[in-house]
Amino acid sequence: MRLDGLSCLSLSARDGHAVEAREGAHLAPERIEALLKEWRRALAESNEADAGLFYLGTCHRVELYSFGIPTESLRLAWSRATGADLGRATLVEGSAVLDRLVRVTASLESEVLGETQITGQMRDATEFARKIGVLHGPLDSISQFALRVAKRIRSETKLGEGTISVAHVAVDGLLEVFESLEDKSALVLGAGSMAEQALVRLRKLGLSRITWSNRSPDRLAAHPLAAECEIAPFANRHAEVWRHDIVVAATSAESAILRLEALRAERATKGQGRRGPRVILDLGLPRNVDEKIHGFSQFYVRNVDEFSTRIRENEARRQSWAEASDRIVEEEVREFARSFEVRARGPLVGELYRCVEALRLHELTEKNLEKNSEIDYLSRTINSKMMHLLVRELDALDDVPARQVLEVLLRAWRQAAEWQPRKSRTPENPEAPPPSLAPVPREAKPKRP
Amino acid sequence: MSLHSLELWLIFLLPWVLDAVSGRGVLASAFGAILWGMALVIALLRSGTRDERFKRAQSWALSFLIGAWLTYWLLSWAGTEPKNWTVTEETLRALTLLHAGILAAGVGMVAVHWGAALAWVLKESSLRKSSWARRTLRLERLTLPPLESIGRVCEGALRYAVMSWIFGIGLALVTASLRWGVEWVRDPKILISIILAMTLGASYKMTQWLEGRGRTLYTAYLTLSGVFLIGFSLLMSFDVSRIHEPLRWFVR
Repeated sequence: MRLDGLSCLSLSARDGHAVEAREGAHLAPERIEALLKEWRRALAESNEADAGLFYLGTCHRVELYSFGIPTESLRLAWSRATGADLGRATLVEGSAVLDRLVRVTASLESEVLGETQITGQMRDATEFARKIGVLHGPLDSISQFALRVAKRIRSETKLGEGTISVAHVAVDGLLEVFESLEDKSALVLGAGSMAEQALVRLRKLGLSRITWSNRSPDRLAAHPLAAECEIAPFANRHAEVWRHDIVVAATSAESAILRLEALRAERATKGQGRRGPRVILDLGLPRNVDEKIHGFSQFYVRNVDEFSTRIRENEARRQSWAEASDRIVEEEVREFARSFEVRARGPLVGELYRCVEALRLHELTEKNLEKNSEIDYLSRTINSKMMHLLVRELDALDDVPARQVLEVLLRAWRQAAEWQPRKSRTPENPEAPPPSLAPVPREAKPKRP
Repeated sequence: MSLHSLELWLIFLLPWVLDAVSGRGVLASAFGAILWGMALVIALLRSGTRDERFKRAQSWALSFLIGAWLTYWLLSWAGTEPKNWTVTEETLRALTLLHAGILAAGVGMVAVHWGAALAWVLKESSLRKSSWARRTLRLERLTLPPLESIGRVCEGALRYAVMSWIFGIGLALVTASLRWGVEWVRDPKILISIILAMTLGASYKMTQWLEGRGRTLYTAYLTLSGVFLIGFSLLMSFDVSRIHEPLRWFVR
């Protein structure tokens, strides 16, 4: 069980795979389930108890992570499931996969550095694979480790600080005028993703009185967020503007949907309504708001020009934390790889214990000393101390020499363990059973008689 | 009693106690009372602020003002005798100390109001720039608190300043009547003080006239409170009084 068994097949924007290629290789949820179930059967039939895999699909990457499964068979199965040509998929193997998985989970490989969505997507992907029964053993530990490192990066750096979504930046900018949004009201015009994001952000910042309006009201009626808003006819939008502190205009209209003359006319007929400043966020392109409204009767109009500067500034701020995050990843991956290799030596060390114990029991039996509790205790103690010192020294070695030493010792003692019991079978007692090969726990201290 | 109200009571009373016990007359000097007035109005308005950064800034300002007042009080001990009161009668002396302290504290509050009005005008002029101008000129880097928070401080400081001056002028008139009878009516210094109080009242009255007219309102605030502060400075420097004792900026 070593990191050599890890592999990752990937199509990502960062590696230069175009959106068409990624779309082709993308698996719909029901296909992921079918593919993973197919693999569960294959894994059950094979003797690879530690083998596992999971699929990660986001808008910027589609990846299949696996452990102990031949890459070519994975590529074939994936290709069969999607019909895509995966010949140009990037293949990462061995310990580099560990590094990649951590960096992807911590959003260091994302198109938008520091975005939080990818960590959630990774969590969902691994939980799904675990539920199907194809994620367990080493790959499961590695995926949990990646999520842990991502969490550490979030808490120790400011990689995720400062939003870089246009709608979020725009809404956050409202706090330049208002000290809190809790007692404010907003009018959202439009039902596209930008309007939706702005609406969600407004609610997150504590604003509860929201009026929503769209040219086709059917789109709003079916929307889950509509239940939390008051729906207003689009034709009344100018009157509604006077009733609210904040207006978000995010429609795909070809020309301005809010005009100064109409606002003036509404004020003349119905009055100004509430006092104080009003902010209009124009998130549309072409612009949704007549620019003459800016400066009229305490109206401040903000548009995408200003937000893009903020986004770039936030990006630069995040970039300055990328180096610190890289250091954390490097440190964590190095430590994990070391402990992983030590754990991987566990079975060999266990076998060594069993061989040494078998030799000890054999010697005691042969000399008819097995019932002498003091000698039994003494021999156990000597063995235990020797093994403890040996394991401690092995832990201090690098993986390759440690394994070499273990393998040499095992080769020698296995022969002794196999040879000794045979030798003990005398002609008088040819059926004498070999000494027990039961493992002796490392921590178990022999009891003094 | 909450920590906030305890803090308010301490800021409100402790300077008077220290001054009364030591007899240094720090609150009878314009500088000492202005510092106290500024600290008091910031302490009163801080709890209403919902912007955390601005709240922190106000806490820093408050700590600085309290530190400055205590330092000034300690310095007043260096090499001088306690204030030599010309008024010997206890009630009159107390009234003199109170009206001088409260009027000068009101000036400190107007100074806070003026600073907030200036910040509002600056912030608003930055917000009035178009998005493109803000992008190219990087005007958004002007890190002033939210417009709403500045407005709240501006209006709150004015409200407390008006209250302080109404109370202070009332006390001053009582003190003057007890001391000089009707002679105070012919004293220019007292009359100028009353005119200044009316300027302040007019400024406060404007909140109703110009409500909702943000820019106009704050420009008027800035102008009127500026006139008030200049008027007060002139009052401190001109020796045009017939009966009033000379006003003093500092203890010594």
